[in-house]
Amino acid sequence: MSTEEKKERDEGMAMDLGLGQLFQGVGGIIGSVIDLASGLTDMVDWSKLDADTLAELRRASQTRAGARPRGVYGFSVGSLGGIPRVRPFGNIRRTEKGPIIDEVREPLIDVFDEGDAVSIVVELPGVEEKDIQTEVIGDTLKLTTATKGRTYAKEIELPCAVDEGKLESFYKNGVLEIRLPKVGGE
Amino acid sequence: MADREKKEEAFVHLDLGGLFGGIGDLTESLSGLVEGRTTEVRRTGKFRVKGLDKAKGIYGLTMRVGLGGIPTIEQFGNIRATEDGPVVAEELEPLVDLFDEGNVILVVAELPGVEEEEIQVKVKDDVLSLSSVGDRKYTKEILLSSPVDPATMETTYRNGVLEIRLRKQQGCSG
Repeated sequence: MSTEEKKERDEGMAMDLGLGQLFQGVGGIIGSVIDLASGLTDMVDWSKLDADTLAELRRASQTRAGARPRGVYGFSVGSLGGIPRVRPFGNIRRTEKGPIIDEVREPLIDVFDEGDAVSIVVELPGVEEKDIQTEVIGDTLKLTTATKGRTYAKEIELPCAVDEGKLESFYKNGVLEIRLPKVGGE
Repeated sequence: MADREKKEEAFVHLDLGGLFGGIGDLTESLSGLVEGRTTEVRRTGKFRVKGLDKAKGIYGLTMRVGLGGIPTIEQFGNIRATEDGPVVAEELEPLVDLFDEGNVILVVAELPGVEEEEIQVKVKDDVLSLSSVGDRKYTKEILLSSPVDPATMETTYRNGVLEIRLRKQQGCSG
């Protein structure tokens, strides 16, 4: 492993996603996703619309009463020992009938192995602490929230067996941190 | 049962042709590309890479179908497309929603992980600049649907969500 190369990149302001062969493929696909997303906006030839129509469109998309549900779609890319890890989030899901905007949003998460424990960081902006429910079933952590207008749900696969009884959680500024000691850990 | 019915109603079918399908396909390939390998790494129980926490890449888009079925797409996150391919920037663009409420414009920004005192908001005419200092650096310039009066700005921050209310400038046709 070229740790030196990695160190070098980490120190930079921007990390090149073309890191190594594995990242090359991921970088290419991410580029295509961004191109496609930009393409969706470019479907409309904005230059052909007059100023009034543009203003009207801008107003319409910003009016709460007339606003249709908003779709969120995204992914995070991290590195696990030099290997990219991609996790999708959002409320746009693929179904047999095509993509849909769901009411329930999958949150952005991170899972860390801290030796004797597993720690999980979940972004739940807009959620009240009392509305968060977590439950460990086997090697899965089930998380749901019930704040009005902000429904998140996620099943998180844990890397190893944990002691559910020793779950510790901390919530602040829309970020939930969960710590679960491993079974048999010191 | 009733629950299920409610859920069905909440679904909105997107009619955006093949483009969105394309994004879905690509993301699936993206996950598929690394799937087998990550399982292997996880088994070793060593998957925290120090220093890479900050450089974690996030890419997201929000989509609203507006008038005449025209989708409004906004991108957020810290992955930026450059000529040399995508890069992960230090600063995150937050997810932002804009609402026109007649005399008032409401801006809702998701800034999870930020302390209230770390948030800076500046307004000039119809441009709102939002940024945060601290562990999480968010930054975003937002074009409002009409010029606003900065003196009328009211903000609330709770659970990682910032709401900004601004009164539109008097005598404005918008």
